[in-house]
Amino acid sequence: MKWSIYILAWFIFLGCKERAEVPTSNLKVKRQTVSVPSTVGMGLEFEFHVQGDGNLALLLDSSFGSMLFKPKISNDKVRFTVLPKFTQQAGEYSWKLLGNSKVLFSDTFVLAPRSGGTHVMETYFGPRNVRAGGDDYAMLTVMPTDDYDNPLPDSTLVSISQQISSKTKVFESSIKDGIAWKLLYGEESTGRMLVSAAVGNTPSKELTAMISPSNSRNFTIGFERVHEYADANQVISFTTSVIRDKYGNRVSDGTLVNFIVVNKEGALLKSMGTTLGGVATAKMLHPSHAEDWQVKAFITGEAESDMLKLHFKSAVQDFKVGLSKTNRKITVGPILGFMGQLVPEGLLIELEIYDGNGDFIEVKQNNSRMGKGSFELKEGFYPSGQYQIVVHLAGIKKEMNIKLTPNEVE
Amino acid sequence: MKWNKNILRVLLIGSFLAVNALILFGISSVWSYLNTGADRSAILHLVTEKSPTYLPSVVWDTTAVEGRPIEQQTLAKVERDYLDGWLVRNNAMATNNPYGISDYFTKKARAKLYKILEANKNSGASFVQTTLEHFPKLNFYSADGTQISFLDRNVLLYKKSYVDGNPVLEYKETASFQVIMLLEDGFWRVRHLIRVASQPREEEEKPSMSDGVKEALSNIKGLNYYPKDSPWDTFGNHYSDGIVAADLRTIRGMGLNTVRIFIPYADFGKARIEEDRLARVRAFLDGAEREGLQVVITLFDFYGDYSVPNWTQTFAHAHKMVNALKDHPGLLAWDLKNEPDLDFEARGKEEVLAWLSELALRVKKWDGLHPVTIGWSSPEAAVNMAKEVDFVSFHYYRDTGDFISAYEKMLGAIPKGKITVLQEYGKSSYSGVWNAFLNSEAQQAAYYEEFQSILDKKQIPYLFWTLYDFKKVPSTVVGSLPWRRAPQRYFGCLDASGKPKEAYYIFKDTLENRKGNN
Repeated sequence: MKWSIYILAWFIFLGCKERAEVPTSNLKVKRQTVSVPSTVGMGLEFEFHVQGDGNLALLLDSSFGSMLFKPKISNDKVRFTVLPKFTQQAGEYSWKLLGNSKVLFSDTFVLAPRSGGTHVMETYFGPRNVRAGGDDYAMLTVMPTDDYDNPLPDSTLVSISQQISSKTKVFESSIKDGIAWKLLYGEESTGRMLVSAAVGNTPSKELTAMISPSNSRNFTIGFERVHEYADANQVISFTTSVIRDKYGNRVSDGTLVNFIVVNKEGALLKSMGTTLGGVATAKMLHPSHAEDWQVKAFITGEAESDMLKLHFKSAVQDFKVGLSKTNRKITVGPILGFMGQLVPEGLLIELEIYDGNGDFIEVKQNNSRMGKGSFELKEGFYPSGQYQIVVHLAGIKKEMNIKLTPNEVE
Repeated sequence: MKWNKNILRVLLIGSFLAVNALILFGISSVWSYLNTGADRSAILHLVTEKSPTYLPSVVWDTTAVEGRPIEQQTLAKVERDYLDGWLVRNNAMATNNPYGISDYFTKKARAKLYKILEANKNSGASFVQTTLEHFPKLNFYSADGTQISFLDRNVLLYKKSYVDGNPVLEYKETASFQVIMLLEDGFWRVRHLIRVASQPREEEEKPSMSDGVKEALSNIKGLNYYPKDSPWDTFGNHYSDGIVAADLRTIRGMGLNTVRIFIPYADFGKARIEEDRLARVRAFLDGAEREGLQVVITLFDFYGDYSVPNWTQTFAHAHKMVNALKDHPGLLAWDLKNEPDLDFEARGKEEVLAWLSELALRVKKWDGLHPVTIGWSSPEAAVNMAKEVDFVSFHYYRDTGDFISAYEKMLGAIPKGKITVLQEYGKSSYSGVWNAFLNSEAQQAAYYEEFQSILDKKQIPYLFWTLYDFKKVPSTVVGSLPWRRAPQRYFGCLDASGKPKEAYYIFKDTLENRKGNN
């Protein structure tokens, strides 16, 4: 008995629940007030007169998405309140009053951005590097917004200021599609371009672009050396004239200049330097023998220098070649330089060795030390017999035939 | 006694070995299970560029750009990021979870979106939405290539709103958006998105079906076609021009004039149509045209997901298929989906119908010449969307005796004057264990004889099922139950080796007689 009452109670409960969900169709709604402001941030009020039952809801579609609002019901009045924070976005809104999943009323309205008040200036400037000459430009893009981050309406005036070398220009531009923009050209001289923009009383921050020199023009080169001798010891330095673009601006510091030397044999030697104050310097070791150099400098793809011709005299006039008793030790020197001094350490000495038939065997290299250099032809490598040797030094060649004999056994 | 001891020994050693083997097997399967999972190379994120999944149709207008001309590559990147922005926003609106938003909206813009998501989360509201068309007009592209402004005109939005998971309203709307995007961290991000008043475009008046098409539809005599050795996979790798040409000749020889074929959605590469598959369809249409046959193409075979987030992909697939084939003279009509009413229960009737009606609209827009239909599985289901399709197609596999009443009931429920096509019907000649040997080829022939006379009397265009018996039926078609699969193999007029069954002669004869009478 208890159970059956319990089950009965359940049935009744379920029955009731079922019933509550059945939508009634005798819904009558009258539009009473729909207060829609014209600008953002004001809030909305919708009021309807309702007869009957229905799950009323207000659907609001705006720029970033859709929202559903539930009503406040008092007697036969249904009121929807949309808080100001949900109407801060400018643009078109579309609302629908829903009752039992049907659209009862719908309409659209447009909220304009807030005029007056404070603005927020958003500026973009680029490229930040402009070449001198007045042809190249950077673009300033201004996106001013109201304090709810809505772009200001079209044809709002934006004043754009540009300052180059203490001269200020002011341009007017007007907003279109939320953006005002202006192409800002550089001048013939290098320097900085400072720009800013303002809408009404709201200024932007300062933005900077560098006006960098244009392409370099051809230049000349000079050189500086301690003496004119090919001692393979001193360093010659090449220096460019002040390199400028066609407007007379010195090229940017750090511009790479390649110096190419063509020697007597047609071989290319290369050195490089970067400009500082428009001048680039590069260094090169003196040759080890008499030379004629042709020097030219290049800024790749842009400019080149004139041709510089240089002559190096041989630093060594003559030298002696001495032989030991067995002819196995060959001593070169003392080697005397252009003032009769011992040549500096490190001068290259080469010894070519041929056998008795004139067939090449080996080249030995050594450097001068204390004005001398020596070679030893060891018995293990060079059996006794006839040899021909050639000594090369500072472009001077000495040939001799020698006979190697065994070392004396002690 | 000794003998018993040996048995005992063998048993002991044997069980010892068996237990060991089991333990080893157990350990090894645990070991191999622990070694499954993500490939180690996945750590490197080598495959970051995924194929896009959000593919509404986008038509740019770049004829009047201020600032500087746009490069195609940049435009493509802007479009991708803008659409991905819509994708993450659609997902966020559906789940009220801001996942991914920060990649596609700048800080100030995303704050506005978060405000809406927060409010919707509190009120239990959510919105499933997708966009179908965009017509952006590029207005401005900055000199340094980091700002862009365009008006995305007449965006076609489909939305479904929910409160606490219960659907409230389903609606479509057209809206235009003023968009400003900035290039940040390699992403084009939305800085401003402002809905502006839009002027809906004039929908051009659709020409109604031409008399020629109407006549062709009313005279449909044909069948549903699959090759005998690759059923349910006409255009797969077994496709052969020779086989198809021979089959089409046979069909022609039976006095038929129409063939219905099927385009599997996934097999054709989904939104990215596989060119080789498409080429085979073209070859098929060429072959049909040579034989004087017309072809009804059924799209979206083996596809059953009608959910809104996949709409752009499915529509992109349909758009490419329709555009590629709409000019072919062999094409007769588009069948949007085979038996979609069978998915009503699993996917929800409203969802299926919403997808179908949007698809019907789109296909008619892309191809104004060829009629559109849907292959409903029964005359009862065919009353759905009867207004929206150009002609009504239905299938009938039930008792022949009930056909007329079911058909007439359907006629009463659809708009008057609509052409109706019996798009699938037939009888299996299967006689075996699963139906107690109660069927035969003779019975199949009798069925057709009876049915054909009804169709003849009622003047109903028909496409029967099917040309061949099949050696194998994929389990995806009717499931894997043998008493369902077995009969499915014997619906043909020719048996699996290509020899005519009795039904074949019934067909041939009735058609020839009819021709003779005319």
